[in-house]
Amino acid sequence: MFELILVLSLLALGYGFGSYREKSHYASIFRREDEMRDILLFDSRFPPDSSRISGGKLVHGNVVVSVDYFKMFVAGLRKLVGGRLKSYETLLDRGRREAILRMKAQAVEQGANQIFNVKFETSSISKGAEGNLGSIEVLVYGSAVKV
Amino acid sequence: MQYENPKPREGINYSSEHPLKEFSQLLIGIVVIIAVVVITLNALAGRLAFYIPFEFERNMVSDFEFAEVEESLQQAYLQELADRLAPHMDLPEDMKITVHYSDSDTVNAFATLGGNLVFFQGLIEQMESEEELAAVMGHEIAHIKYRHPIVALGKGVTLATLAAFVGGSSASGAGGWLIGSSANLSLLKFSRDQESQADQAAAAGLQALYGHIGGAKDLFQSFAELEGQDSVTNPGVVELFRSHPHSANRWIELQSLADTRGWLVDDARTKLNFPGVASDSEG
Repeated sequence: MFELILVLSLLALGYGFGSYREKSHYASIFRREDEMRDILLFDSRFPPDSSRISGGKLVHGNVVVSVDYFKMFVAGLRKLVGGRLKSYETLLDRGRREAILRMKAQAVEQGANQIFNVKFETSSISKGAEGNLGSIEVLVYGSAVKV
Repeated sequence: MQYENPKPREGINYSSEHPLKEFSQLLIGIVVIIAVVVITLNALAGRLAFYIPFEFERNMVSDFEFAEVEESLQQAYLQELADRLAPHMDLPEDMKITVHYSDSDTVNAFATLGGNLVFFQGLIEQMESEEELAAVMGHEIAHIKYRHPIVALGKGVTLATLAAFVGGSSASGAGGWLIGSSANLSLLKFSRDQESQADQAAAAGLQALYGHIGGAKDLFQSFAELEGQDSVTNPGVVELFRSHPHSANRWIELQSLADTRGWLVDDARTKLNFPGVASDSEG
């Protein structure tokens, strides 16, 4: 009985805080994406026209983010039957977009307006740890230049 | 070359569906599937466990400490009563009843795997006559007769295995845990149907041995009194009744059975001559 109450309150806590955090995080992501829309990202190793660029500095954005108990519970149920792990998709989406925004913020500070050779690295930092909430780290990096 | 950074539509890389929708769909679906599986397996396990030969069941528990008889005057008395009562209860030929005695003041007696019965001093102190004690004995022997402990274990092991399977942990420990300690053996729960089945067989045994079922009448009367007691001052007593139907109802059921079978409800009782109890009350 005690365990059931514990699980239910963790679920409610996870759902309450998780939804609130996700909502406000997306609002902030949308706002900052619009603000920094003129910083362009490229995955090519060199700018198409290297004669007009100046600068060239490594910029990176790094995010560590964790699922809440509710998302983990839903994913646990989903794993029994298979299918799209919707509850984790938003987590990764938010992680990647936040990492880009942080990298862009570094580029802005250096007066750059384009980033080349953009690469992503995503890793699970709770991998294999039994009973741990899933946490991920997203690292994005590239070369910032002024055109 | 001119580059631009258009704004893609939201909701491509993730779903904007309300998270509670997925949660409730999954939860209800999985709970229904698990319930169906559990009910099916439970019924199958209960049915199949009944066909495990009694000898296998005895061998299975013979290594456990609780199956060793600790000889004492009290144990000998209880064993003698069981040996007198058992022939009147239509047991299968290979079925052997072993009675154990515990001096704990818990008001309880239980039947467990391998034809082992355990009687506690606390229960015996509540008994006024030999017939009354025989009523409890008959009830526990009847549980053995109908193989209730192995059926309960079969269900328990099946569910534990299923739980381990779903939970993803090692299934091998589950069965061992269930039969591993004698504490768990006393926790084997029987259903209400099984309890009234045992009551009826016990009454038939009493009738055959004593010519009346007065022992059962006394038993349910004193149980009905104990049931009224406070759970705080007497927690051991309450434990006994948690798994059993209401004593008054059990007696009403038996009375109507006695009517149809023409059993005698009351006759002379034999005073209980249990070793140890008499000297305790004198000293």
